[in-house]
Amino acid sequence: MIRGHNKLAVHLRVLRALMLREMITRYGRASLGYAWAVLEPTAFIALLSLLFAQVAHSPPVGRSFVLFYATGYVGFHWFHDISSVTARSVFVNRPLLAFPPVTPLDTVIARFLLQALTAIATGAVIFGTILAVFADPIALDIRALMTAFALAAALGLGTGMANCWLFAQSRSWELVWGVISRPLFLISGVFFTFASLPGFARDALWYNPLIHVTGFMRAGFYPVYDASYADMGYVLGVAAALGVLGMAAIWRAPARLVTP
Amino acid sequence: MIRLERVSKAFRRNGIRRRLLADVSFTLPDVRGLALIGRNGAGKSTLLRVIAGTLRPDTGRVISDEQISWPMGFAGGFHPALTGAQNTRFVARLYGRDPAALTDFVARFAEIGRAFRLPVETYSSGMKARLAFAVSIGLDFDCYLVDEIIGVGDAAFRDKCRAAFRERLGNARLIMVSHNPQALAQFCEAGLVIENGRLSYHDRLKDALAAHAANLAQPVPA
Repeated sequence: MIRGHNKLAVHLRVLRALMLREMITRYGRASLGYAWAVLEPTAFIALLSLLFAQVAHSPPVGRSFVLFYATGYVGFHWFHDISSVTARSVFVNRPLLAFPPVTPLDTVIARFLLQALTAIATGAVIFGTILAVFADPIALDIRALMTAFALAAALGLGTGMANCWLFAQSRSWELVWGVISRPLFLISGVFFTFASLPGFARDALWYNPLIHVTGFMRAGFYPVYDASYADMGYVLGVAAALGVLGMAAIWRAPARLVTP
Repeated sequence: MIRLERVSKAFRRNGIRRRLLADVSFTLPDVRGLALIGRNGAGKSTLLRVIAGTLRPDTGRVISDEQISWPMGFAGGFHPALTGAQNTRFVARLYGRDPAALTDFVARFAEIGRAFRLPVETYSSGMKARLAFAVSIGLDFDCYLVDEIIGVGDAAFRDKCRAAFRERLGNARLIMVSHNPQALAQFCEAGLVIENGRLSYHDRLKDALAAHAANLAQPVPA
């Protein structure tokens, strides 16, 4: 019911306003602000590298421990960050839904876009630093890297949208998800390679979409890495299924997402 | 023009279903100030949200060619962690207006002084009401939806709002929910009574209040 403008223009205006608001509340108040988005995964990668450098002679691929764990963890971090931020988008923005131009879907898209931009910045800083300081010059496969990012983002958005609805249905699920989603990185190929697994483990873990993200990411940095198992279609299918589930719920019953 | 076409809305919680709007078809009459009256839980706020478009009815639809405000009330609206000025800029962006111009207007109209630069969570309810009114009057809506909040401001501010509605908004109208007959009488000439999912219109506020009083004398409908 906004006069004289088409719907798309209204949505773009709303998205911009929501993103600016989000930046002020989220990064304007924490003392470390935006830097924390980069520091957190960096600290974790450094920790992994230090630990494994003590027990192993060389990483499973290449010579740099730091690069190996970064190529494993950053993709997982993208997914985890994007999914947890979008999952709470309707809930945290519920006062703003009092404004008729703001729809629940706008809040999801605004948070997703902002977090995806943050993810790109995080990846650029971490990999830029590693390539400049630690690793030998290597030929990057930009296409594989972009695929890894797109898949992590799509999976994060799909999971976030489904959880948007599931969290509103069940507070217990939110707690359970918080517990199980972190250790997911243990089975996502962060500190091993898919090829090094025994056959039965490969067959089972293939269904974890995140292991495909790791595959594309490593293929982007290591020309010798065999990522032939990684299936873009499978990951996009899972992301789309979750996204459609969440979208249907967000679209049909916005009020129930807001008043849990 | 605002028209409800076969609008139904029910809420279900813990197996109990409450029907607040029962297949309502109604064109809101073209009066400057319309009071929306009903007992607690009758669905006044729900109707405002349906008209505003922030709540989707179970069936039916609302047709409108007017720019309608958000329902100004205590629940929701401003972000508590942002300052009054930041919230004002957010709303300006939302409606495609110039943030600086709206901020200037609100700073002058709301008369909350330096608190305008403090987070809204530090405001009293009267200050929140001043901010909400100032922002909405600055936006030139065709139809203002007011949910209780007007009773909060002090008398001087209420007069100022009424003058602003009268003067600046020659063509605008007001739909107002309040349990305070004095506040209603200041702003509204006609009344709409909501009871048991149905609406009844009275073109004199006095009659609407009398019908409401008669409803209250009856037991709560099952």
